[in-house]
Amino acid sequence: MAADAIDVGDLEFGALISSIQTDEARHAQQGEPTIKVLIDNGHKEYGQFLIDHMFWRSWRAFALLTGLSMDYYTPLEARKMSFKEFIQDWVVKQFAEQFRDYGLDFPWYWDEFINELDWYHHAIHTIIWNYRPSVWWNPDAGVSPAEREWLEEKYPGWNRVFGKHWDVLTQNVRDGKLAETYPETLPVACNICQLPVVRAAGLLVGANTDPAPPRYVHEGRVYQFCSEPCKWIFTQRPDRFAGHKSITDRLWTGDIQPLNIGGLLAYMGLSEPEQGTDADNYAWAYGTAANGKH
Amino acid sequence: MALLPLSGTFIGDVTTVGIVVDDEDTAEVVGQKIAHHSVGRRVAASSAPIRVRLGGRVLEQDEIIGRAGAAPYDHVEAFFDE
Repeated sequence: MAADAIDVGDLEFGALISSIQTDEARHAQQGEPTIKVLIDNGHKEYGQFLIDHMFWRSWRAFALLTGLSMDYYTPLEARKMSFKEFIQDWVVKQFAEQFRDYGLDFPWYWDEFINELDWYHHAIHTIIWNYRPSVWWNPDAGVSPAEREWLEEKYPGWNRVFGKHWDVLTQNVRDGKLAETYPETLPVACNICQLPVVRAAGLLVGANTDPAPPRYVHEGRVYQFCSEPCKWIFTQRPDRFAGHKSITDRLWTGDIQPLNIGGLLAYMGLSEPEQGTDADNYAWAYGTAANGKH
Repeated sequence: MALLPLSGTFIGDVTTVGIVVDDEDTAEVVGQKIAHHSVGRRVAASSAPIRVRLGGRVLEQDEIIGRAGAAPYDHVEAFFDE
């Protein structure tokens, strides 16, 4: 990400990310020896549990931050690979080999994770763009005609599954119906990862058979999740997570008033200048982007 | 007449939304309330009627959602009955 940012001239962001990456390089050095200590001292099962828990938590954050950056926000001419290709190389191949060398298994949900490389971050991107006033950056829709061709090439079937949503959004922009491109309620947020529940997108690609969010009742309260792994994380140690209210819980229990996007933005304390807007001022909807991308 | 928080998915959309309906709303009204956040926004409009499914059962349009068995935070599907 740092290299991509610097390549396109965003030196500030590049420097920020480079600094963060030196932190992460130090953090990453701790994982291997920690797992080794656990295994050498008879705690392999606990080591597996920690991997299973944190790999999914990290995957969710990674899909949001890096998936969107690589496949939608990075200018087309600067993209070196797709997010899926990146994960396949750095995570599926290299990281997985590393912890398998210690005799650990792939996390129990591995097939679901591999499946998600084709659809999860695309769904999240669509929703984040819709909810752009609620984020503190200006999301790039990343769906100009040329970009959609790239997405179709890297993710065959993208236009059939996700392009059709952007067709509706694009037409609304062209018709001057910008209000229809903004939300009027909240998505259901997962009670673990706090991200929008986009299981329905998994239904569209055949990855899920039921759009209903997995749920769990703990001490009389219903908790909802985006996926079975997030639900598993909760049920393994419910007291660690119980009690926290997702942003949707706060809508449902009346903390957010009025019950609409205006109420949400006021609740989040986001002033109008801070609310995200489309990065290209909707140029993508008219066939060319503001910076001349085609 | 009580508020009923639900999660709703319009089949064909990518996300599930949080809504609050009245437990005296008909299934038809609940379907419209879910559809409002998807149809014409991320899902192409259709002339087909919108129906509602709760717990695997498609509700009659005039069924009252509370009496159909919907409990707080239940998931309701809305879909074009094509």
